[in-house]
Amino acid sequence: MSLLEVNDLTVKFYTEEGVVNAVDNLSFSIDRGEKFGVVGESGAGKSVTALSVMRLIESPGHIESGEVLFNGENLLEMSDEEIRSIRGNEIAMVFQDAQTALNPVYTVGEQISETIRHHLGYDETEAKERSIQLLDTVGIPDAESRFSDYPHEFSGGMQQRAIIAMALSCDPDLLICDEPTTALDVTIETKILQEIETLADEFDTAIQLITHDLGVVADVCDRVMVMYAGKPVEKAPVEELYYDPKHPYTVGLMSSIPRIGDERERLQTIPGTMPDLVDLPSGCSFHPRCPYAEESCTRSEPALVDPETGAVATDDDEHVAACLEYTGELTDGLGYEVTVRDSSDDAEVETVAGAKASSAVDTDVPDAGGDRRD
Amino acid sequence: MTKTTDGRGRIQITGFDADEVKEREPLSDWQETSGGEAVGRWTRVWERFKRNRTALIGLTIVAVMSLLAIFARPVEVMGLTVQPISLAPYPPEEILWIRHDVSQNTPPSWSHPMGIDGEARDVFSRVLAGGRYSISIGFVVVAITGTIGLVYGSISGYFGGWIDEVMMRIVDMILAFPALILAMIIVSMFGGGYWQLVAAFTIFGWATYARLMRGEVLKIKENEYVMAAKALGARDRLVIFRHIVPNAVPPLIVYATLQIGTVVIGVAALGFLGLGMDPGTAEWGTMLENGRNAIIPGPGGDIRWWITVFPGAAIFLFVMSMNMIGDGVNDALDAQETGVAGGGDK
Amino acid sequence: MSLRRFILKRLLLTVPILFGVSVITFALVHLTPGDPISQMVAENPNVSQAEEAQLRAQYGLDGTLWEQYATWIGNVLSGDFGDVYGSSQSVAGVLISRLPETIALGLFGWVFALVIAIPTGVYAAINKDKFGDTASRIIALSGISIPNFWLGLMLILVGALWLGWWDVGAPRTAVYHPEMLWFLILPGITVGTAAAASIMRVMRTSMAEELNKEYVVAARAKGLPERKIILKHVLRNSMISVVTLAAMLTASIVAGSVVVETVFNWPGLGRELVQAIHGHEINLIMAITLFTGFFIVLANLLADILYAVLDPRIRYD
Ligand code: SF4
Repeated sequence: MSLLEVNDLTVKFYTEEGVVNAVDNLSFSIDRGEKFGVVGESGAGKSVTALSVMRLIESPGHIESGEVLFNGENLLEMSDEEIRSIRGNEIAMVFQDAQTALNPVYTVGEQISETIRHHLGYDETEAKERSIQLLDTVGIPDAESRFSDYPHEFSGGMQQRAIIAMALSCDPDLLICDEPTTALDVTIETKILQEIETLADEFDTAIQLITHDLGVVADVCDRVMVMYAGKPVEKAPVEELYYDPKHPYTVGLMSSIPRIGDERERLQTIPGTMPDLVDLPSGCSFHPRCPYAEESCTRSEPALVDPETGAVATDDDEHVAACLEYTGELTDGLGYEVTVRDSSDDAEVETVAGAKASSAVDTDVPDAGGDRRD
Repeated sequence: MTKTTDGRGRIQITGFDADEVKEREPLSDWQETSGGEAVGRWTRVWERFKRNRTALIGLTIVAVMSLLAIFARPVEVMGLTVQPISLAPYPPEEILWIRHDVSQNTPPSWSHPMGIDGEARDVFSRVLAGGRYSISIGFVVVAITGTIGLVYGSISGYFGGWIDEVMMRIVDMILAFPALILAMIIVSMFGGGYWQLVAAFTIFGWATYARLMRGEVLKIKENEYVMAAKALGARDRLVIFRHIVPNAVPPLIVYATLQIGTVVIGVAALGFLGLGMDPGTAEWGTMLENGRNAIIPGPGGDIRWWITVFPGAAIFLFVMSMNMIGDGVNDALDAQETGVAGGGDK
Repeated sequence: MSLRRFILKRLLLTVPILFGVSVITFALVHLTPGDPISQMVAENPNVSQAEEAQLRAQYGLDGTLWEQYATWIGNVLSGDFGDVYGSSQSVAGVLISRLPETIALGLFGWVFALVIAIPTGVYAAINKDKFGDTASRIIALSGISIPNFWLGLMLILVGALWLGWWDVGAPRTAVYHPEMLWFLILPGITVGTAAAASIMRVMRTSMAEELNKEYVVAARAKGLPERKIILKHVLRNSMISVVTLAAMLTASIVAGSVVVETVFNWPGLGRELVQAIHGHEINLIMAITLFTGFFIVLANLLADILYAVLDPRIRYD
């Protein structure tokens, strides 16, 4: 049994401008201790997915249908009381912008120990002790005295560490990280990511990492789901996604990562922007931006299929994608090619590849064509 | 080419041609909706305001009441009748029992829908005309104080330093007094009357605008375009009026709209305290002051409610409508603000 | 420690403002054309030039303005506000006898405002755009729009004339008598209504704004109960703007008491001021005005300090 299993989740927002189909018929699962990435440009529905998992969607948003099974229990059918005992305790969240996620009028320490007192029933002093320990664990120097500092007295990186400490405070099984490093600068970004990774291993916590940055995913995750306009368009183990991307959107994201030693004259970014979720294009939502789109793409909506067989995806399929190519409905096929060059082939890129041996894609430049904000 | 098994190596993607998308005919008639917002800033504010039903009701009531006040009696400017229409059935000051068959303190009837007051005057006519003073003073005072405050606050905020310090301390001192008390004292010194009332609310009334304006200017001053204009050697006056003022006015406008109501109440309050217009004048507050003894039951034990209810209700209705407009303007401008800032920044 | 320094700094800043307040008070009465002595002389043509000069000397109205101001402020600092011309009582005596009445009224209005406004504002923010919110918004809008003198008259009309629960010219008991509470109800509501309505509006807006902030989502994500999130996290943040407003409302309650005391014939400082203005009692006018200014400056000071206590970020700015 997976730790988290999301089945056919649909979330809509009823706004003045119309109904926003924020998440449409989404399914995925995360195993115990697994690191799962969710990638897409802003507006793809990543954050809504994360909030839905914790049932934190607020009006005008509404979870229309689907189930969220956590350890086999459907979170969407729980009472408010029950879901609250899971939030912060078994599923915890790290927010994009630590500065706004911390309440400015309470000390950082109080905000951490509050959670501990609430879920673990510790008293004031025990909770304080554990909070200081946690602050120390996430790498805040002089944790003892920092405990009674207010959020504004922390730097951005430290605030994010405090948020991580808070998230880990009750030893959660699943840690949802929503763009945890977007608000930070690049040097701190790497450190925080490493911190999350090691701590997750240490605490044996599964991670759902939400990001617009394929590079970050490559560093941290085991499996990846690419989302576009509220729908999953490709799911694959991270290596396969990089070496053998199946969906044109994934290909577009990858080709827009700038790389040193690139011979192309300029980057190929994905043209246009993510469509407004109120008014989605017909057929495959990606067709206005897809270089391989054909007439049929505007008519039929591709289902997630096994790209080898074209059969509708099942839970057992490792690698699935939603493009008409794999159901044989495209006449001209997908005209992209992925070439992998061994580092020794090419003196020019040797240093880069060597320095970044563990990842397939250079992560020096974080932006994957997406907007940094969400 | 085959995949390297150990995960090393570099991936390069070829054949993802963005230009193809730009050059081809759109496959469907779906279009990107964003980016089509070429309408001006104020047009958008107005669009939002128009959609606010409460604000529109307020606007209508204010317009109707102002028109009624203008057309209640003919308007003469220096002996010349510029407005001949007379909607009020009787001259508001006329004592009716002299020429008509009515007696004092008559309750509302068909011929006198708001009754007759203690001096045998027609309350309806008086209420119609009674808005002239308060409403026009409200608009005049707000126009003058708003302008003074705008200039004062811009100077203070733009130059900063000790100039700002001194100018703002003066504002602090003024704001230490309730406006009504200052107005009372000024009127008591100058005596009552229309322009005296305007002066009473103007002399110190600009202070809040000045403070608001200064705050906005301080925020805007740090913006790049202002910095750039200054760096390019633009003159101070130009920078202030070209670049800073237009961006700083929205909160002032909101305050001004609400302030009209406050001044109307203030004028009426002075009238009620016997410090406004001459005692017999048909002005809402003065009418209430005249009618105060009406709260004591009359000879037959009857309650002469109409004498106090109608003039006060007129003030209430006007001010409430003004506040509805103010809220509407606020919402329209606020939404605008967030629309421009567009999230991201804290 | 930094809080103490902040308070000290604020206190020091208050001194020049209080000085300015006294200058404005003085200037208001002395720079306007209607000099009280000339008014007295105009009203009473029998006064000779010599008598006029003597009167001026008696009231400290001779010499240059600066000398006059110096004499006046010197006396004020030693607790001497001069005499009331009409009754030759000391102004200080009048202040002391009237003050408790006004304080009782203001306090009642204040408590009424807070008790009504804060829970309603919180309720409205939580139930934003539902029926209860809409209703309370309309009531609040009426509350800030209704002229207090008319509200007072209407309350008398209903409470005293129709229902007969109060007497229009009721004999009053001493201020400290518990029965006073009954008499305080109508004028207290009248004085407090505008403040209640404003606080409610600000409470609702700031609370709604705070509820949209990410720390609220974060607190929910921590599994805290909604009640705790609102009462602990959100309320404290939204109180910051309410506290600032509350200080401003002190001015509104003070100004309101002037009118309301006149409506209800309440023997406080406000009614005294109106009578003083009608009678050109400049010593009394100056004393009450000065007093009002001081009081409001102190209220602002208190609000600033409270603000700093509530918002930890402020001390360092
Ligand atoms: S279905 Fe068509 S439009 Fe959609 S990704 Fe595949 S080729 Fe592109």
